[in-house]
Amino acid sequence: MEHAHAPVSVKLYAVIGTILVVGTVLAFVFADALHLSWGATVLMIFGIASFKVLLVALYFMHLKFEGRWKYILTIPPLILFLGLLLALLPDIAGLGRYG
Amino acid sequence: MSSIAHTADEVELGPPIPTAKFAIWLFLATEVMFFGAFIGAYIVLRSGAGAWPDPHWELAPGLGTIVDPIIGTLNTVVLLGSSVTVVLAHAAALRQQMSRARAFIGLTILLGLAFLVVKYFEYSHKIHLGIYPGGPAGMGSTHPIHGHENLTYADLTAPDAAGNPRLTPSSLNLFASCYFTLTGFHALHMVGGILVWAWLFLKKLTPANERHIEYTGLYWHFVDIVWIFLFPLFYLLPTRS
Repeated sequence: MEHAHAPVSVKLYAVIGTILVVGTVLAFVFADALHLSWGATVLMIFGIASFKVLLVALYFMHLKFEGRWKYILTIPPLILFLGLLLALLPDIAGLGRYG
Repeated sequence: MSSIAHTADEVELGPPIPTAKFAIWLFLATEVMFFGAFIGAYIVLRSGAGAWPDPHWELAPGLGTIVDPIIGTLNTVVLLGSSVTVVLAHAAALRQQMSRARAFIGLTILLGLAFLVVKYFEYSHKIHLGIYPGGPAGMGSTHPIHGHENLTYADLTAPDAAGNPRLTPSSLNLFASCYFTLTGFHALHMVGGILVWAWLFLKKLTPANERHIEYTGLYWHFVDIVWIFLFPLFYLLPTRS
């Protein structure tokens, strides 16, 4: 089978790598140095983590350049993961029964 | 019986990518479920716990915090750096610069090992304090901590200066179970990745190995993605007051 390749740019990889490192440091600053509320901290650190994951998947794993087959293999497990989480959360979350 | 002639195009089924690449992605889809179940369980358990060790609380005078956010940040940077060296190795292989690709693979191995060495010291610190599944800290043992004879394991869950309880032995035990399970499976995945990288590093690379570098890289990036979520979950997320 023909083996198509994503466009490769060392410069782009360097830029993405730098953004990932800056994002990591920013997440540390938001959680450790800036005394934000719990909700704001959660929003910032997981917002940054999600953005970093998106960058790794799109550029390092080349999903940005792949065909539509990528949706078949990536979306179902993500739906199952979110379904599992949403199904379990109302069970014990917030009850504090482990305290 | 009549024979039906097919051209290669007519019988080609499945996604328009090499079978090996499809297999790797299929494997990664199962890995999403594997880590997703553990991360989901951790989120649910932590949300339901009445007490949880905050990454910024000092456990007891002179014992430091349960995790060190600075070390966690630095280790995350090391792992992200290894993902960069992987894509650089692949880029070099595509240009048929195989010795350059090999050098970047070697760098990836070194960064992966550095990450694991830091993990070893982090595990040692917790085990020394009795923080492991079923460990003395999680049982509220009143025995002195080795090397800190003025402190007992029970002091790790003692109330703060104002007399407010921060932790319970069971919450410390639950933390230890979640921490060692998730970071342990992640570390095992890294060991697996390093072994494959070592195989590629030791063999004589040819341009045909470009696919091996790409597919191993997909796995390595996935392991990186898992850590990108584990880092804030364990090292940054404060305990809700």
